[in-house]
Amino acid sequence: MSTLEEDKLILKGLAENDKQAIETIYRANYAMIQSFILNNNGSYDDARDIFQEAMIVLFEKACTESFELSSQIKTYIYSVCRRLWLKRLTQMQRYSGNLENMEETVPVDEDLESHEKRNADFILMETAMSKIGEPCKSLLDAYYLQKKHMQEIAADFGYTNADNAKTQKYKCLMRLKKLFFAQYKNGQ
Amino acid sequence: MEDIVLLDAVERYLKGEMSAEESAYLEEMRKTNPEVDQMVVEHTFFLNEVDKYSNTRNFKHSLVETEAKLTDEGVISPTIHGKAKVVFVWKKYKRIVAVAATIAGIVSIVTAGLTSVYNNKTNPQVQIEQLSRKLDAVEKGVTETKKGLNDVKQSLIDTKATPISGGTGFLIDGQGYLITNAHVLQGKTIIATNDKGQQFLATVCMADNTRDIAVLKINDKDFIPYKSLPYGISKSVNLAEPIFTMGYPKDQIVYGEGYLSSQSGYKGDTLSYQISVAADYGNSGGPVLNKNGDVIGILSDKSTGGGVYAVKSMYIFKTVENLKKDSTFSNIKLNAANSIKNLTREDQVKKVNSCVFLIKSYQ
Repeated sequence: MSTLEEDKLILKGLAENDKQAIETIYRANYAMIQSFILNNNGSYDDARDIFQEAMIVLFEKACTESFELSSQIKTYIYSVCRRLWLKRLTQMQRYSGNLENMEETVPVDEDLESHEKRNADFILMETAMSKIGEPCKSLLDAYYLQKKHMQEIAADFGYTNADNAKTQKYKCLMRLKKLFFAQYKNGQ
Repeated sequence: MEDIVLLDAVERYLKGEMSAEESAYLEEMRKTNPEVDQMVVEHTFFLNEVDKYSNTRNFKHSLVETEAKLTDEGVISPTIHGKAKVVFVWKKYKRIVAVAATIAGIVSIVTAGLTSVYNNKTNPQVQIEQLSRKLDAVEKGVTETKKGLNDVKQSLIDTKATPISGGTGFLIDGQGYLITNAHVLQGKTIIATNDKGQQFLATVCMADNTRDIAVLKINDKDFIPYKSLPYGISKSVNLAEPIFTMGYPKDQIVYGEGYLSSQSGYKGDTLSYQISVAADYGNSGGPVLNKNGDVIGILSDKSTGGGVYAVKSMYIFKTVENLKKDSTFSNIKLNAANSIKNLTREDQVKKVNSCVFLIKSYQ
């Protein structure tokens, strides 16, 4: 299998949240990123942070329908990490003006922009989730995140039947929606 | 309650769980009822957000789990192994190595420099001796040239004669009246030399050995009278005020700086001030000036204890007054206006320079 086909398979796995795909990417690229970060004023923790964020960027990209990777995963990850690290150095005012280049890079600014947007939405939803209180939080978590069936949820939460659980879920969802949009509109 | 029904409908609609009849009905409602349409759009967007949120959160879980697993296996670790480590260590420390090398370089250069300086210092007398010999040679050459140029004047003096006394004098009147110490003038023939090396014959107008003051008059056709003098003569002084002196302890004029230490001179002598300034034989008769460039005294002598004394300027006035009584000298006019008050010290000295003469007295 060529590198390109391999990469395609890995990205398909990544979009489906396949741990094996994640592990493969880590094994192939993490050491390179760590030495890059350490060589440029960073720490071990910085390296893990930056790599995780780059993985999320790659995941988001892999999830989009029109997705097509124009470069190798390795190049893409390096480009994203480099950009993210440069930004963080600038924020910490530790950027000395020359970030050493170990690999070729591809433009990733657009991807990072959409990642930032998504990250902001993610934080918004997370905040809203934390505000709706129990049992709403667990109920929605079970249904939307763990994708459990309504019957299962009803049994878990002690509702007499799935319809009651469903009604409760909708009430919770409306609360969440209210909270989310209140912040969302403020944030826009 | 209606909202909940609608939400459920929208959700089933999006998931494709509706029958064809149901979805046709919903689409018809969206077309006729804008509120329903808005609700559908909004809820679709919101569900999409929830979906993205849950996907990202689940992915983050997987990431954390995978990272923990790989950390356990040693794939992720603070230290990197093998070849990458060597490269990493070199890259990490290359800046430090470069700095260290630079410091080492500077230290070795400085050490080499210091060593050579100290090596030179081990033999300072040889160098100074050599320098003074060279100076002697130059001086001889200059003296011989001057002798040739001034053979008329020199013929007036015994060419083999050496001055029996000497010192400094300075102009008090641009016509050529110089003031100096009486003790400077032991001989009968007086030669005054200006800063350019020009020599002029001078005669003694008067000498007061008590006050140690003498007035000379340059009587030489080569002398061009000064239209004005840069300094005035001031009688007022203050203890501790800064002073400066100019004189000829050697053939080149020497500048000195100090302060007024006492209103009286040696052993309470009220004719003079005590000043603190570097002075040597030859400085006698030179001007002592305050910071404005006004003459406040005539440097006269020094004690073995190191005190330097200056004849008070008021005796310049008294001497000139006395001298004026003689009709020959009635035209003496002391310079009162100071034209160098606001100049820098360097510029003051430049102006004063031409008014200070080297005095040599021959038998």
